[in-house]
Amino acid sequence: MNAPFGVVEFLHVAYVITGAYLLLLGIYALGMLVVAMRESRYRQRQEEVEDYDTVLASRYTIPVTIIAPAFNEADMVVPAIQSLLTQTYPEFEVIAVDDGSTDDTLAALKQAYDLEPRQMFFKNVLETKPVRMVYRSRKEPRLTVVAKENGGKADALNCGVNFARYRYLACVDGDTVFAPDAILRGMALISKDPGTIVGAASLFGVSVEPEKTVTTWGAPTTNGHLLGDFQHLDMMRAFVAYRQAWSQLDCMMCVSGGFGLWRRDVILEVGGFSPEFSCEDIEMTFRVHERYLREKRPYRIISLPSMVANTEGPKRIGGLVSQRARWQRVVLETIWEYARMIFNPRYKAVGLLGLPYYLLFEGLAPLFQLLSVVALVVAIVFGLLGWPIYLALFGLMMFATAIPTTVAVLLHDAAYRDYKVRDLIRMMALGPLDLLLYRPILMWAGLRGTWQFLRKEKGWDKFERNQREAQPVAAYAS
Amino acid sequence: MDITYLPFRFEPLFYGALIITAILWIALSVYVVVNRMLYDRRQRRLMDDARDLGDPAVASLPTIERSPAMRRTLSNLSRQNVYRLVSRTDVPAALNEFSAAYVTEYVGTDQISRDASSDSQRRKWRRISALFALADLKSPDAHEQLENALADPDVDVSNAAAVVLRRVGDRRAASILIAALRRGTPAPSRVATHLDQFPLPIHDLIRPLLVDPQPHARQWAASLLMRYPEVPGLAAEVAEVADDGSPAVRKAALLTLGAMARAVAIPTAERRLADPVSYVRSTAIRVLARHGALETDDARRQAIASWIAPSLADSAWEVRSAAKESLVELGSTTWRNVAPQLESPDEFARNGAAEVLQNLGMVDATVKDLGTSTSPSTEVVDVISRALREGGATMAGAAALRSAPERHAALEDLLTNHQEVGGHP
Repeated sequence: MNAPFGVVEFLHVAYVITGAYLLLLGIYALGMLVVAMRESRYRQRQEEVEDYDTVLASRYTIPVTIIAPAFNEADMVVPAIQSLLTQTYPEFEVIAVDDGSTDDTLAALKQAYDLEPRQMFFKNVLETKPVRMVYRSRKEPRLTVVAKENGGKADALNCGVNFARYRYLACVDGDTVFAPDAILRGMALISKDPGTIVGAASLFGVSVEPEKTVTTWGAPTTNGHLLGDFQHLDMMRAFVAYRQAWSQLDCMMCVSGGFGLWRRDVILEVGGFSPEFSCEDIEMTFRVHERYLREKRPYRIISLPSMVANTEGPKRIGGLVSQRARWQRVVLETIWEYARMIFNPRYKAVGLLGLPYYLLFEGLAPLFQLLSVVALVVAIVFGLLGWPIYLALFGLMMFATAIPTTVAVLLHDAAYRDYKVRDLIRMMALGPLDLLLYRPILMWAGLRGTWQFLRKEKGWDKFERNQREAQPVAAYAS
Repeated sequence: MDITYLPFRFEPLFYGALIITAILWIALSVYVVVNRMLYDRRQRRLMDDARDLGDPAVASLPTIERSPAMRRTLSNLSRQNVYRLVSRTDVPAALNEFSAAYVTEYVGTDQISRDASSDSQRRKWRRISALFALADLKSPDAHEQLENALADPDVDVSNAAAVVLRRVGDRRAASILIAALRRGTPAPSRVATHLDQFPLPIHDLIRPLLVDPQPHARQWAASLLMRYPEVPGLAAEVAEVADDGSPAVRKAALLTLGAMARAVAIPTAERRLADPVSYVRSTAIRVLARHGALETDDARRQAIASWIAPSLADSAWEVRSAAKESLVELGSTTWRNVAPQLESPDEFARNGAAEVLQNLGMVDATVKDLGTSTSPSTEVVDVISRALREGGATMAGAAALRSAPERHAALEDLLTNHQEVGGHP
């Protein structure tokens, strides 16, 4: 077939643009991997000489308030709260915020922890939707459950902040199961420099049924579910290979909602979590960066290397697309809100490195991906595709994208040695398939998120929880 | 040449690049697996050998002669890895000690001393391992090297030195840690953690800090002395700093007195209820409550409650919160001391008193007994009616949810009663 006027030119331009983009991405990834390996080695040595037993027995650890918002988490909320209540940290409280759930979330908590309603007057520092009732547990004095009208996760977190008694906040998800030493590991690092470290993130894994890790923590396994394993690897790559590098370069860009430690005064000073964004975590991280860098105040936001939790990842493609579309939306919303920081030397590494990365490799990525797919289709339709070259290029890309995954697995294993060898092999074997099977889903989600951003949609788009065999919720609380 | 055609010139390279990338990926993956298998094997062997080190039969031998098997295992490791074993806190202490002896035999004490004093950033982990080794070997230079390391600006070096000094556990090590506490580096809370768990009693070394010119030194001294309630005269010295010019010192002194000397703690805490700094007031309240809850004499407990109750109207939230929790801790016999706060012109005090009465179980008990053979007195009914008024609709709703449906009429009576009782609008 003869190509009409302009098609060949279009293909050439698309080829050059996507080629340049990939080259830039490759250089960036390589740079980040080198920095991450350095940081990982450093954190590993730091953990080896850390005397956790002494910290654990200390009267001088800093107490922590753990805030766990939950919306329609009837299946997960009890295992999640139980994993928080069994933390080995010396002093903490757990505030579970039921954000107007329409399912049995509150009923599950009532049943598991023998809750009784109480009127409790609290310090209303941050505006939130009205609190319906406060519950205290007859079984567990460290637990407070706040039932409020639905206002989104940011609103629920702010409500938890209003009830918080301690100086540090661990903001977590109500669908995530935590390792018993999650808070200890985070606070041990923070306590070395509490004046400067204002926030800390940490790696969490993705599992299709994270509650099954409640009693078996210490030996993480892969999911045995393809989509779940791809998500787990994605998270491991993001945290181990990239976020550690950001942490080292002082441009940590996201203290994730799944597990984030914040100093309470910092959260209050910047006005609490914003419900104006599709997701509160990235925006809060940027707000803190913006404020502290503008005012030239010393601070650090760090990423811990250890895997502290397992969160629920969708089992179905539709659920994954909804979740990732929301993530794409919040990236774009944050870039839009903080565009003034891009390439502004006042904002140091965040403005010069972090935000440009977000813009190019996260915000605009779906557009470059779309361009390459359109060019591919056009080339096929007009018979202009050189198949051998294309397949070579595709194969090259498959293995090239598998390398960061393998490095992430290598760094994690070198530090923790917690996966069985067969799980390591499974994770690494999935690396090259990522481009073929997983990336197209993310591309679609990215495009959908971009479209939603352009339409100014803000909804949470919560994915439907994975189906499980019926399990008495109270069993987890015993 | 048209620049858009430039990339096409590289296309033949794709085949080669594909092969190189695939080989790189395979090599990396194989490395991960082989590295892990070797690690597992080595770890198993180390742990097996470490068990031999605990055998009482070899305890009298010099460390390095206690396990030939361990010696063979270590000889297969790089010097760097053996050095790492010296400082790892996640392996048995006997293994740390053996590794230290092995490294010493391998490189000599002089080299370890040089490593321990190195200020090169690149060699800082070797420095840390050398510090652990010097301590394990009970080297005569250990204290001096650890003192220098503790003053190092690098937090990893200084924190590791603090860990080692606690392990050394002699009085000179304690003095070095105390000097660091005075200096304020590394993080005083970290240094205090090690002093608080120090294996020897060191109150005589801490005591002089109570009169140190630096407030933070006095504060930590007051706090660390909590471990020594039996030492004569110490409580009186701590009580003196409860009136210190620094609020942090006053707070630490209150907490220590609260834990060690009841007779001194109660009057001191009562005095500090009027402290100008809110966190000292809230600490005083909590100290009083802790002692009050242990009182067997109701009158004494009620007296303490009557001191605390006015703090429900404090201007600081943390003080009001401490007062609410403390009054509940004192128990239900103190309700008469809380009730007057329902009449306070301050809304916080009225709300707080209502919440305390609710948490004391007074609301539930009144709802349960009203109109029955054990019906509460008019005084109680009036107080609870007022409490429900001050607690608002949520408190009444919560009470309804907690009570049996057949008792809702009694609750209605109480709610009606409060309209007759009146009070603040």
